[in-house]
Formats: sequence, C-alpha cells, structure tokens
Amino acid sequence: MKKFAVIQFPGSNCDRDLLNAALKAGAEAEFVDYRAASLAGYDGVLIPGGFSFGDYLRSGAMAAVAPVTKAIKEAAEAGKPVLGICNGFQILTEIGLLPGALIFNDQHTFISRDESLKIANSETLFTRGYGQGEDVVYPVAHGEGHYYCDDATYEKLKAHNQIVLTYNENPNGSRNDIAGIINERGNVLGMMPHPERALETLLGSDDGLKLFEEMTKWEANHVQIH
Amino acid sequence: MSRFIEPTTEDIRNQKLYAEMGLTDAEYDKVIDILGREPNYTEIGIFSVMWSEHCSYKHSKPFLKQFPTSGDRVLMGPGEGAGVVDIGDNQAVVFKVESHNHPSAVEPYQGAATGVGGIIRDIVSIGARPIGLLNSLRFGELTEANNRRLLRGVVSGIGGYGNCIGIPTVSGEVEFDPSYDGNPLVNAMCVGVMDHDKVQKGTAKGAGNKVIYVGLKTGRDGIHGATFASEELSEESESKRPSVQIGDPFTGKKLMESTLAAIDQPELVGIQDMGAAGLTSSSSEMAAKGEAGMNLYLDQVPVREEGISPYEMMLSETQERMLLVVEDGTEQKFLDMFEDFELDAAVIGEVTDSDRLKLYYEDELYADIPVQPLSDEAPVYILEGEKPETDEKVHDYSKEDLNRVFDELAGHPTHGSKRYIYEQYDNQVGSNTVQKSGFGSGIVRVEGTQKAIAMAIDGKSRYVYADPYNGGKEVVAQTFRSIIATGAEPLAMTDCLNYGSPENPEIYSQLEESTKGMAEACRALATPVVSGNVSLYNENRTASILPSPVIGMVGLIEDVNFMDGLSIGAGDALYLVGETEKSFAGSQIEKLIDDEVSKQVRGIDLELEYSRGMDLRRRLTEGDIRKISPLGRGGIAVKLAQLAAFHGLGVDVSVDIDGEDLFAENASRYIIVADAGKEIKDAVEIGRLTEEGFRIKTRDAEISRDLAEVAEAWEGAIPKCMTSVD
Amino acid sequence: MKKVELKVTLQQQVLDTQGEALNRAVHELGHDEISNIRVGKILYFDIDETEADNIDRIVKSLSERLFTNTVIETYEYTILDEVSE
Repeated sequence: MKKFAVIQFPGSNCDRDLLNAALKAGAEAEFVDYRAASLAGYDGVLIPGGFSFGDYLRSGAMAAVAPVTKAIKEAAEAGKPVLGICNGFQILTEIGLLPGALIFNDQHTFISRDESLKIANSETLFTRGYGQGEDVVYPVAHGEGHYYCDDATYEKLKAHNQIVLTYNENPNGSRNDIAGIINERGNVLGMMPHPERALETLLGSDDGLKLFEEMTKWEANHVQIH
Repeated sequence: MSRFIEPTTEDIRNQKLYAEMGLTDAEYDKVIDILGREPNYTEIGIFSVMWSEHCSYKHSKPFLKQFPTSGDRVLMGPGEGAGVVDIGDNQAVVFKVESHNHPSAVEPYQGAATGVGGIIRDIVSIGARPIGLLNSLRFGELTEANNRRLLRGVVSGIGGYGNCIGIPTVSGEVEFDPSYDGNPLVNAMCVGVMDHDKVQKGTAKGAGNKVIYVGLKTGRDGIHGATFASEELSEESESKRPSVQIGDPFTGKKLMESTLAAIDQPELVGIQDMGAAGLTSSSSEMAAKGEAGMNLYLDQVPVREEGISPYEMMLSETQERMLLVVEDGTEQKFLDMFEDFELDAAVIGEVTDSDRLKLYYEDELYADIPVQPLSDEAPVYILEGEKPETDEKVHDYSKEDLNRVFDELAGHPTHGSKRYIYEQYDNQVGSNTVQKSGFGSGIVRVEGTQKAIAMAIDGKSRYVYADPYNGGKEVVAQTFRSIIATGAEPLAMTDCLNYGSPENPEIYSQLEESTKGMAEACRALATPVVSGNVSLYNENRTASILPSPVIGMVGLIEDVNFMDGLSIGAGDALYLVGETEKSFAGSQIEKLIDDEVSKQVRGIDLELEYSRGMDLRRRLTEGDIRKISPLGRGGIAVKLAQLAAFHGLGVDVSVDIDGEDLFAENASRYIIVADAGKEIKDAVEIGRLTEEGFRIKTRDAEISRDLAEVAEAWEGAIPKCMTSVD
Repeated sequence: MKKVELKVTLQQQVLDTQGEALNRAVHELGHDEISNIRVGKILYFDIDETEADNIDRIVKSLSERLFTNTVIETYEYTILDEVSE
C-alpha cells in the first residue's frame, strides 16, 4: 500500500482534509512535522493548504526555508509524486520546484467559491483518471492565487504541456487562466483549487477523488518524462 | 519606593480618577467597603473592569435571569465560556455568540478580527474543536461612504481571522438600516464539538497548583477595552484608537491546537481565555469559581516591552492568550508542550487557600483583593422603564406601485445576495460543510459520523422596536424557523443583546419587554439559553440603535445523508404555509414608504409556531417535501425573488390575498417546495417553479418581471453600492 | 551594530493590484497629478556587523533566500545609523 506524507507547518489548516482524502483514496497517510529532516519511507508528499507561518511576509516564504523543504526537494528529485494545494502550491513555487509565483488576487479580496475548472492535461500521473478537457468542480479559497509568470516561462509551460488545470471563469486574474501546473518531469503538481474538498456529492462535488486515486495507483515506472 | 510611577490613593479619591474608568461615586465607596481601605491604582483598575457592564451585566442581570437555561440535553448552561449541549454518542455541541461592536466602529478590520478570535477561544477553552463560525452584522445604509468603509473592513477582518485559523464561516445575516449609522453591530458566533468527558471549567482549585500563562506576550493593547465597550460612542472614541487590540490568527491557531492538546492532559485543573479585561477577569473568575485565592507574580508575565506596570498588565487586552491552572509539579510538562508549539508560556503564580487575589511584582504587593466580592458584589441596577405610547397609524399600501416596491426591496442590500460578503470567507475548510453561506442556515457534519449540526443566527430589530414583547418572541421564532428549515431538531440557543443606553427609560423598557418575550419563546420552542452576551450603550451621535437582540441557535440532524442529491427544479409546486395578515409595523415596505417604524402590536402564536415547525421538519427529513424557506423581511414577494434568483428558476404563482399583503411580515409562515397535490397542514398550493419568468398574481395586483431582471437586481444589490472607490 | 532599512517592491512588469486600486482612489479624490503608485514593504532590522561588505553579503543573501521572492519582487537597502547598545 502507498504511504504518503502530509506535511504540517504551523498554520497549515487543510492538513486533516488532505490526510482524509489520501485515506479515502486507499492510501496510507501520516502527518510529518515541518522540522523533520527526512521523508524516507514515504511514496509521495502532500503539502496542504492553509496559512503556513501566518502567510506573514509572503505566502509560503517561511515554509520555504523550513527544515522539511530539503526533504521535499529530495523526494521530488527521486521522482516521487509531490502535490501542493493552495498554500502548498505557493510553497512549491517559493522553493523553486515549480516556476512562477502566486500574487494577490486582482480584486485584492479573498475568494471562496465552487470553481468550474478544465483538465488541460489528462496525461499526468495525477490526472489520468480524467478526460482531456473535462470540466470539474473543485472549491477555491485563497487571497493570493493569481498565477504570475513571465512570457518565456509561459511559453515553456505550454511547450512542455505543463498546464494541468485552468479556470473556466478566472477568479483571481491568473495568467491565461492557469489554476495548476506540473514540473517538466511530471511528478510535482501545484494547484490553487482544493480537490480534497471535492470528495463527496453531499458536500457539493466528488470530482476531486479521482486525483487522489490516480496518485495512489501510481507506480515508479509510469513516470512520464516530457 | 515603587518601581512604577502611578497616581496615589489620594489622587484617585481627590481627582476622582475612578470616574474616568467608568465607576460612580457609590461604586467607589463600595470598593472601599470591600477592601476596608482606599484602593490603590491597580486595585481600582481591577474593580472598574470587573464592574463594567461587559463583565458584570450590572444593568442586564435581572433580565437574563428570566431565560430558561436547563433542559434534557443541556450539559452546561451560562456562566462558563460557552454553553454545552448533548448530541448523543457521548458527543456535545458547544457554542456562544459575542459582540464586538465598539471596537469595530473604531477600527473595523481589527475590531471584527479580534471578535472572531475571542469567540473561538471561548469555545476552545471549554475543550471543543470549532467546526463553524457565523456572524450577524448591522451597518447603516451603503449609500454612505463611511458605512461602505465599515462593511469592507469588518468583512475582511472576519475573513482575515477565520480563514487563517481554518474554521469555516458557514452562515450569517446582515441588515442595513440608518439606525446603525456610525454604530455598526458585529456579533460573532462559534460552534464546536467535543466529547462529554472533556468538558473544562474555568476554575482554580487546590492550593499550590500552578498558574500558567500562554500565548502572545503582553503589551499595552486595549487598556480599558471592557469599559470602552460599555460606553456610548462619541467624537472622543476616535481618540481612543489605542484601545483597539490587534488580532494574530497565526498565533491563535497555534494556541487553539496547543490548548486542545493541553485539555487531553489529566493534570489540567482549569483553563480560561484571557478575553475582555484580560488577566484580571480570567484570574479572578477562575479563583472565584474554585473558591480559592490566587497569587500572581507579574514580573514573570511574558511582555512585549519593558516597564509595563501591574495596572497595565492586569488590564491589557492583548489577544491570543490563555490562563491555565495545572497540578503542582506538572508545570514543566505543559511548558514543554507549549514550547513545541512555539508559543510563549510561563508559570506566573499559584492557587492559594486564602480567598484573596494578590498581585506581586518583584516581591512588592500591588493588589490584595478578596476574590468573592469582586465578582459577586458587583452592583446591579434596576431602573424604571417607560413604555412608549403605541401609535394608531393605519398602513395602506393599496395605492402603491407594487412593481416599483418589489424592485426597490429585492434590490436592497438587506434582501439582496450576500455573495460579496460570504465569498470572502472560507466556507469549506475542514471538508464537512454540507450547507454553506448563501441561503439559510449553515450545516456542518460532525467528522466521522452521519450527524450534522445546523447553525443559524438572526435578528429582527424593526419588529422589536415596533413591539418589544412580541418582537422578542419573533426573533427567537425566526431563528427556530431557520433551524427547522434544514430538517434539524432545534437544541438550544445563545443570545447577544445589543441595545442603546439602559439609562434611557424607553431603552430600558425595550430590554425589559423584549427579554420577557424571548424567555417565553425559549420555553415554548424548547430551546433553552446556554450562553450569551450583552452590549449596551450602542448610541451614535444622535440616537440609539434599534433594539437588536440577536439569536444564535443550533440544531441536530441525526442522519445528514438525506440531503445528498436533494434539489428543486422547474415544475415543482410552491406552497404557502400560514395565514397572511396585514402586519406592517416593522416591515420593510413600511421602511421604504413611511421611513419609520410604527409602534404597534405584532402577533405570534408560539404553540402554533412549534407544532408547524416540527411537522415541516419531519416532512423534509422523510423526503415528503424538498425545501422549506421561512418568510421574513419583505414577506412573500421578497422570498420568492430570493428563491428564484438563488436557484436560477422562475416562478409563476397566484395568491388569494391583496397585492400589498405580498409585503406583509406576520410570523410563522413558510414557502415550501414539493410535488404538486400534497396535503400540508395550513398550506395552500400557490403555483410552480418554472424555467423562466417571474410572476406573482394577487386579487388586485400583479408583479411581473423577467427572471434575469430579478436575478440581476438581487445579485447586484451590494456590488452596485461597492463599486466606487472610497 | 547597525540598523538596516530594506525596501521590497514588486518588479516593474508585475501588476501591482493594490497600487492600481490606490491610483483610482487618489484620482477619485481629485488628485490627478498623482500616478504610478506602487505599494511595497519595508523591513527594519538590527545587524551585529559594521563592515559594509559583510553587511552587503548578509543582507543580499537573506533577501534572495527569504525576504523577497526574486521571481516577482525586487529590493534595495540602506544602512541607517549606529544602534546604541
């Protein structure tokens, strides 16, 4: 059985939700403290949403220099799947595992709503369960979710098919409606929307479950190099 | 020679320094009686905050005593940080509402944020994990720039705190009325869930047990905030800005998690939040409840800056702090735990077997006060109320252009969509939110179970102003209706009494009459009061606010899965439950056309309210009907507009009443959505939900609109006011 | 011991939404003479070091590692007075 690490920073607040999502998808999952030096023994890493270190200074800035960061980079290096959601996405850009940055929403207010999204790349280890171009609903809840990158980076993202998720109705001003991107190697995914909040129709949508199920099914030899 | 330069006992007496702190001459004399000598500066400061309205309820105690506070499910009633109610399976729901009106008027962002932080700590200090936040807000009309500024600040403050700490804000209600110009109301409610056997009390027992301080370092924030909250707002309030405290949700989150961990330790004796009046109220109340004394060594208190005097330390309202009493010898274990959470913590005193609160700073004694009289002998004032004359006004809107009235009301911020507000709140963190803000009560599942807690908050101040006694009943009944509309069984309630100055006889009478009505409704609807808060002196430069009791209520849904897939659609039948009466005193059409509230009797039959509500609730959970929507402000017409716009469905109905009665606001009525041809007690089928169009026919008039127009008016009600950059 | 003032602002090509909103507000107040508002942060800290080269090395290293996100932000710093001890 796959075993995932759910990283807990002070101020993380979607940590339990993410752990429950992994369990529901059939994986084992454990919380790992941000002071941990190693993630050996885990088959993948989940970085939850929330306000790590209060989002003080800049979202994800202080998490990016926490001890566990080195271990997250090693896991990514080893080809293990790494998923960062919301604040987790912000942290992945801060530590340089994903390009670009997340800046304030254009309207400068927090936005929380059910968001209609498009699966722009259904060939990643996370999204193979979806159809190409399929519409899904995941909630969003963020104040700094505007995805920013320069033209060169955007061209590169496009060329390598790294844009995984796009907004159908852009809620924050993100460049080209980008909601989630993957690294070139295809094992590090960051997204602002919350698939871990979309696991049951009773709560509004179960569109997110497949993402965790695919991540759980993943085998090392399946990793695609783009 | 003292380390701190402070006024002497003579200065306090001769210059009447106690008066600046909000104490009267008689209260000062009573302090001398209790101490057997004149109080020093630290001591008079302590008495002034403990005897403020906020801490002592000196004008409201007799009214609060009317409320029923016990019931089969009540595990802990008022008196502690929050009420506790059984929900079966050894679990309990914990909840309370509290006001932060005055701080929000002065600094809306921080005022609202610290209001949310404070109510969360109340719930956590009982031992519960918060699962939902709600708020009730009142502002003046959004045509005024200052009210827009206050709305922006308050909403971002509520979101700023709640979103960061990670508790979903799942419901709320907002009203815009000129009576709140310059004196907004910000009432925050928190609901938590816990196991029965973990219920904590704020008590200090066992001589030698240690007192631990944990949380943010103490600064000079909010000195005299509790007395500030009990004063009328004036031009001077602007200059009182330093009184406003700063919230730190990041530390609040760490404090919440560490407190919940501390509560699992058997060596914890008692715990209390340091809220209003900070260290003073937490230490003295804990000692009073434990029938013990306490020595505090204030030089041990973690501080943000040098030179904070005992007086300032005791009165500081620095946020994000808790006071714990732990068994002697186990203090290091707790300190280590807090260290792991990266929080400041220190042993600052011990429980004694005397009955005195003694405060030391480097071996010098700064206060020596008997504990019981400080809390028990706070003055209680019973004043004379004066009921205003009822007026004979006859409401006749039969000549009005009802389509115009409809457009005005459906597009008014009070009735329009609150999306602008609730989209700034994280509604779903925790992944158990079954029904979020937008339309009706919040519903949050109890993690790992099929159970869910329905939670609602409501207030109807125009009804209370029109008829305080029956209006008081209606406020409770309205909240009851919101709860039964989810299919939940109403369990218990909490109240926040927001009124003007009790020294004004008409206001005093409003308090007297409305609380009497509320108490009757609580009994009739089987919803005892388990916690509450009072906010008096809500006055702006020219007038008092409308009497604004706000009710928070929770209900239990045994199996929430009945809601999965529950939806309504075109073709469904609409029913009107309850007789419509020509009840216009306190209504929104009256506000629009007459611009004032007439003081007239409003009627409500509480027995009918209860039986009707419980019957509808049962039908919903059994799948017999698909939606219950209680009628409120703006009557039938506004409710149908909201229903249509929210669901994107048209309506085509015909009601056998006069046209003006579409805007009547008598109690105990609902719109129901179900299959056609149902037998529902006291109900008439009035029409259908449709794909498009919006048409309401009556005996003598018709409201006819495009669905798109109605939706646009409703959606745009607040955004259209907020477009200009203030 | 020196006191350092570090200014962090968004890079010129990054849209500063807060600055834009302020621009609009200032114009609504009738001050059309004002334009190009950019909003940033200032950090003040004491540094137990007096050599300008060493201060430069430390401040630059921390600015690029933590104080700023070099993808979107830029910084400049000034060494202020001696801190009295």
